[in-house]
Amino acid sequence: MSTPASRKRGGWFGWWRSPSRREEVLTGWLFVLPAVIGFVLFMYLNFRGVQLSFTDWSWISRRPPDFVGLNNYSLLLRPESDFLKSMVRTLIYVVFVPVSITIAFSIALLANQAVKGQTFFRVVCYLPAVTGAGVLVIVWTYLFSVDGPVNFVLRGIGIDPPRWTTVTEWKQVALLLLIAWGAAPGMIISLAGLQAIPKDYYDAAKVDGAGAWRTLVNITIPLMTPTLFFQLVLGIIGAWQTFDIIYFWATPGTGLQDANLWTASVQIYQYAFAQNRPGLGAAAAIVLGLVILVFTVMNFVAQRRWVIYDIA
Amino acid sequence: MAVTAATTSSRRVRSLVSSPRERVRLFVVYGVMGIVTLILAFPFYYLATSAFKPTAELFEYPPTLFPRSFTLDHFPLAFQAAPFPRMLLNTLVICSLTVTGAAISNSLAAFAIARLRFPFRTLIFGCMLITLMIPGWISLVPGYVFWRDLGRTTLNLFGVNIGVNTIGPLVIPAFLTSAYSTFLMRQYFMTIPKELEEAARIDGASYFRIYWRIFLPLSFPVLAVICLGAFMASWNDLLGPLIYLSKPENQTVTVGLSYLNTQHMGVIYRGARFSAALMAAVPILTLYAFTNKYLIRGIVLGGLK
Repeated sequence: MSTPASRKRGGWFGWWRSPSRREEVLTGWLFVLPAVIGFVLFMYLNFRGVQLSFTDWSWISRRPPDFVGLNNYSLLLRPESDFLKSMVRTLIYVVFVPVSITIAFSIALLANQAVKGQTFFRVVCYLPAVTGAGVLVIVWTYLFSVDGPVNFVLRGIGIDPPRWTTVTEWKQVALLLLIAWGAAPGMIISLAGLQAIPKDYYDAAKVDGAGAWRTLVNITIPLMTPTLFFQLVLGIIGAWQTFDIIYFWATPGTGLQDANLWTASVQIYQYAFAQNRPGLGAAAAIVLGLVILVFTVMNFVAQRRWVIYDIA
Repeated sequence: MAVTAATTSSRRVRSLVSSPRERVRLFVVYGVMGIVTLILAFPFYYLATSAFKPTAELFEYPPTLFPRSFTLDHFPLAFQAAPFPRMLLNTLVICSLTVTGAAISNSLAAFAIARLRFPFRTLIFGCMLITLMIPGWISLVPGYVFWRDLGRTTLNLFGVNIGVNTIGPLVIPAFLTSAYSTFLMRQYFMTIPKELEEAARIDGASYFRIYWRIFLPLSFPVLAVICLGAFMASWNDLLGPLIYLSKPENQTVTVGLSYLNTQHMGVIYRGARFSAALMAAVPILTLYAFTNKYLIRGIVLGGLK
């Protein structure tokens, strides 16, 4: 955009001759300098990441990294590899994203009702996003402990409670419940989408005698598909990188250690630091990055089938 | 004014309530909202009460909803496991520096990209957006190598370590912009009318002055979201301090919570764990209590998660 304008005034360096333009260009470069440094550093680190993924070394040894070609990748992609298992486990969180979006959307429908007290309700809904995973996991461990409030309620309604904190599958369910609970803040995004829908559509539906359910299915949901798509893309990218809650819930040293719950990113952390195999960790991160890329591209391809950008 | 508004709204509510259909709707909406509020708020209530219950009461079944007795014994026990007051201070220092960096760097870059014409502007902005698509995990290992080597170099050259085992790797990147925040600010700056700055230019104001006196004050809603977001992200950051800081006395509270889990599995530590979690949660919840208005309004405005 800017280049043709500056060329018109006399070539690539025309801006240098006018003091006012010179000030503008130099100020512009000065202001974006931190961004440029950040970009160069980030790209350098990513190239180094690719490079290191072909090497084998340890943090302690003073020897330079050995080049091992694709060896790390073949280790990671063996059928019995821990990393592959962790990737499959992470898929649980990816598949759970639509559930989280549905929860956020439903709460947003509530928060969009014309009743008093909405400000307070929204403030409460956003609480989970403010609180860190470490705090939440500590509370969750005891909410779901054998003698905890959740089991008390379950026994109260006649259900024999499962062992939330000892059996891997039930630990997994408790984690998913934590994620479902933590999905509430997403309602803010859904609410922004809901409030962007023009009132005319609802007025027209009312004139046509459409009930609440038909209005929801035929107007609200179709008009919300761009917002839902945005949440799906970001949600899936985030779900592949689920780390904090699993670290607190299941790594060695923390409350309920269980390697059968580790997600891909926890496995990457374990390789890179706890197991002192940084080359392997770097390679695993590349694989994760590629999988995220594939899922994002798939999302953008599939959106043509369901996202409605132009309703008229 | 306020009185009139209140009477009209209560009259409107009364007229709505009078219809039986509307009464059912209100009942259902408030009922579901109440249940959702209860589910979302209960863990916080449970945390706040359990931190002060004596150990004996913590193990009672059924669990006591309203605490019968009060104790502060768990806090010294938590301090034995990890130096929490020190860690809170560390976290506050890191958060303040991160917020400062995010506020300065993103607003300057966004102002330049939105308002100044200079060669490579579009290219630079495009490059920033590309970084959004690359997951940070790829730079985990090379990042550690980089900060380790950089720290050694600055130590040899200037006698100061800014790398591993300092807050450098946690704080310096905040001064190098984050693509998402710059993007949000740029979108906001694009909506500010050009006439304002043109008038200032005619009066001879420098571009920095225009940024400082016109754009920055006007951008308060979005700047508040970026600063609060940066503070919360930094407060709750686990991975950064986990790998870059090693000594307990330099650690943040978020990592401190995992310290308590390490060797303290005994019965008496149940309360200590609650008290530690409370210490990590209260500062950030207090901040949220005072700023939620700006945060939520800003997110609805900009669509930021």
